[in-house]
Amino acid sequence: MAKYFLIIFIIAATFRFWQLTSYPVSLTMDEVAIGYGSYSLLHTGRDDWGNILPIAFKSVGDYKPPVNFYLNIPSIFFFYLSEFAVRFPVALLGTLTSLIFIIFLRRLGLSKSAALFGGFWLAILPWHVHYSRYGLEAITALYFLIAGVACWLTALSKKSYFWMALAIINFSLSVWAYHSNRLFVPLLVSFLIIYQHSQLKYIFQNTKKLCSLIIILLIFAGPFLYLTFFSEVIKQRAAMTSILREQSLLLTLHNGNYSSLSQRIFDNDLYLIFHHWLGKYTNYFDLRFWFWKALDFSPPGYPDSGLFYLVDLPLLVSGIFILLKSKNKFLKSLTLFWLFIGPLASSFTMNEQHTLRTLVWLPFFGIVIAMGLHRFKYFYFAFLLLNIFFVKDLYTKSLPRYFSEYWQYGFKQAAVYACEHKDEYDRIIISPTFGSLGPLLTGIPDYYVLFYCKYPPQKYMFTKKIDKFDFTRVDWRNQLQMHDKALLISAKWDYPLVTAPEENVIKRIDYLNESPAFYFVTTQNK
Amino acid sequence: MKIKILFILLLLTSPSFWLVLVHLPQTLSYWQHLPQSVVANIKSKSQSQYLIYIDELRWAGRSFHRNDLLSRVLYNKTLFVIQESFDFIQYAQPKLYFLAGDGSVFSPRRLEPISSLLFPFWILGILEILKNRRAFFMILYSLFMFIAYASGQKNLALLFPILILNVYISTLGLKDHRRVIPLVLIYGLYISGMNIWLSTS
Repeated sequence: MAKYFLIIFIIAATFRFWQLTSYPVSLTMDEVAIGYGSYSLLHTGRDDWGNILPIAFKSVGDYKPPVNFYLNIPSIFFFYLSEFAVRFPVALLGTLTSLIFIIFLRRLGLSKSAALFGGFWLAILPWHVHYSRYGLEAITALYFLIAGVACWLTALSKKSYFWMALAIINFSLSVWAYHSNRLFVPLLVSFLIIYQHSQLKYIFQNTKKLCSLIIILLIFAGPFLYLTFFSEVIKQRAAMTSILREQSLLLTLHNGNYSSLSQRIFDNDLYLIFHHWLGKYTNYFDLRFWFWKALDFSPPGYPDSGLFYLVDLPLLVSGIFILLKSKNKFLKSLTLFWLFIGPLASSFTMNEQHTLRTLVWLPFFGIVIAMGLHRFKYFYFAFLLLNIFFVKDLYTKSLPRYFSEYWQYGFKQAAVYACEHKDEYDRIIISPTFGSLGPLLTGIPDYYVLFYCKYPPQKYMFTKKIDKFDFTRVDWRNQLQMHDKALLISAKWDYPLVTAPEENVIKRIDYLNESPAFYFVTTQNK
Repeated sequence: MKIKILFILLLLTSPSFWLVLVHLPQTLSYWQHLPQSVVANIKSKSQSQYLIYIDELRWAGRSFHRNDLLSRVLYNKTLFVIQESFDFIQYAQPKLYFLAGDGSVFSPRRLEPISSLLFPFWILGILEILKNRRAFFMILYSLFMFIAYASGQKNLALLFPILILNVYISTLGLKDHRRVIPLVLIYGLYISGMNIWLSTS
C-alpha cells in the first residue's frame, strides 16, 4: 500500500508543482495580500493592518479567513517572500489531499483498488489541480474537510477519543479556512451525528475525556461564534456575496409594495427570492459544466475544460449504478447528502456556476467515480493521456494568452521595475485601473509593490503608505505641472495620444495576447 | 396513493402542461414545421462558429502559428462532435423543465413549467430508472430529446413529451416519500394559481 501511496503522491506533486510559479501567469491579488500578510506576521507578529495575531484578516474590501495566512509563515520563513513560497503550502496540501482521500474512501467502505483509484483520480483532476496551483483557501478547507470525515469514521470504528479530537480539529480548521465550508461543515456534521448517533454513545462513557473534547470544540467554535454574532467579519462577507445583492433579483422585488392581494400571493418577494436561488442551485446540475465547460481556460464559446476529464463521464454513470446496488446504506446516504448539499453554499452567492465555491462538492464525485472504475478501466486509461494533454494545452497556452489581464499580469513587472528604479524618481504613481479593452478592471498594485519590493511591514502597517509611491489613476496633464520627476505606470487609457509624447514612454509591458498592458511614462524626458 | 393517480395529479398541477394544451394550434405548428427546422438547423451547424474556434486553438491564435501533430490531435472535428453531444444533453437539463422554462407562451417568465419541488425527486427517479435498467424508457426519452435537438429549438412544444416523462420520473422518485406528497401537491396548486393569475393579469 505504501508503494501506491508514494506513486500517487509523486503524480499529485508533479501536477501541482510543475512550473508552479509560471502557471498561472501571475500572482493574484489574494495571493499577494496573503503572502505579504504572512510576511508581516513572521517579522512583527502583526498583520499588515497592525493587528496582533488576528483570527480574521482585514483586507481590501473584506476579511480573509486566517488559516492560509498562518500556513504561509513557515513557507515564507524557508523560501523567503517569493512566488513559490506563497503557492507552496496550498500546492502541498492539494498533493496531500490525494492521499487523505484514499484513506477517506477506505473508511467509507470502498475496496482498496477503488480507494487507490480515487486518490489517483484526485491527483490529476483538473478542477483540483488548477486551484491547488494558486494558493487558494478552498483547497486548504477541502483538505481539512476530507481529513475530518476520515478521522470521524476512524474514531467511530475504533471508539477513540483521540481520533474524535482530531476530527473536531479538522472540521474546525475547514470552517476557519474558507467561506463555503462555514455552511457545509455544520450541515455535514449534523448529518453524521444524526445518522450515526448510536455509534457515538461511547464518547459519553468517560466524563473527563468528553470534557476535553468539549474544550477543544469550544477553543475553535467559541471565537468563530463570537465573530459571527458580535462582529462584521463573517456577516460582511456573507452580505457582500449574497444573491440578495444581485441586480437581476433586486429589479424584480416589490419590497413589500404590492398593488393587489393577488400580486401579494403570486408574485411575492419570498417566492421571487426562492425562485432566483433555485435557478442558481439547479445550474450546478449540468453535465456540460461537469465535463465540458467550467474552468474558463478559454473564452466563452471556445473548447474548454470541465471540472473533470471527459473520460470520467462513463465512470460516473457506472459508479452511480454500482452505488445504487451497494448494500452500504451509510455510504449511499452520505453520497446522496453530498450530492444535494454540496452546491448549496455557492448557490446562495452571486456568480453563475462558481467552480471555487463548489469545491466542497468534489468528494461526492470522487466517491462515485472511484466506484465506477471497475467496469471502464481499459477505456479510462486508453483515453486518459489524450484528456490530460488537452487540458494541459488549454492551461498553458490558452489561459495565459486569453486571460493574462484577469490574472493581474503586469503588476509584478510594474512593481519590480518601480522598486529597482525608485531612487531615480521623486514620485512613482501606479494606476490600479487597467484592462486591454478599457479601464474596466481594478487591482491593488499597493500589495504587488509591498510584496515584490519586500517593503518593511513595520513601516507600512500604521501609515498604509509606501515611500514615494502613490496608487491612483494617472492624470498626465496635472502631473506635468508638478515640475518634478515622476514615473507614471498606467494603462494606455490614461495617456491620450495628444498629451503623452512618445519620447516620454520609457517602457511598455504587454499582456500575453500582445495587447499593451502598462505604459511607463516619465514626466521629464530621457 | 397509487403511482398512476399521483402521476396524473402532478401532471395536472404542472403549469406548462396546461399552457401547451391551451396553445395547441401553436404547438401543432411547431411539429408541423419540424422537417424545415431540422434542415435549417443542419445547415447552421455546418457553419458553426465553434469550428472556427477549434481552428484558432489549433493554430493558437494569430501570433503563435503552431500546427504540430499534437495540436492536430487535440483540436479537430472530434471536439465539435463532443460539443454537439453536450448540446444534445442540454435538452434534458432540469433547469429547463423545473424552473426557467423556454420563455415562450408555454412557460412565461417566473413560472415553473413543472413544480420545482419535484426536482430532488426527479433525481431520485433518474437513479431508480438507472438502477432498474429501464432501457425502453431511456430510449424513448433520448428519442424525444433527439427530435427537439435536431430541430435546434429548445421550446416546450417540441419538448412536451419529455416534460410528461419528467413528471413521470419525478413520480417515481416521490412515490416512496408519502409525507412530502401533500406539500408538493399544495405547491403545485399554488403555481397553477400563479399560472391563471399571470394569464389573466
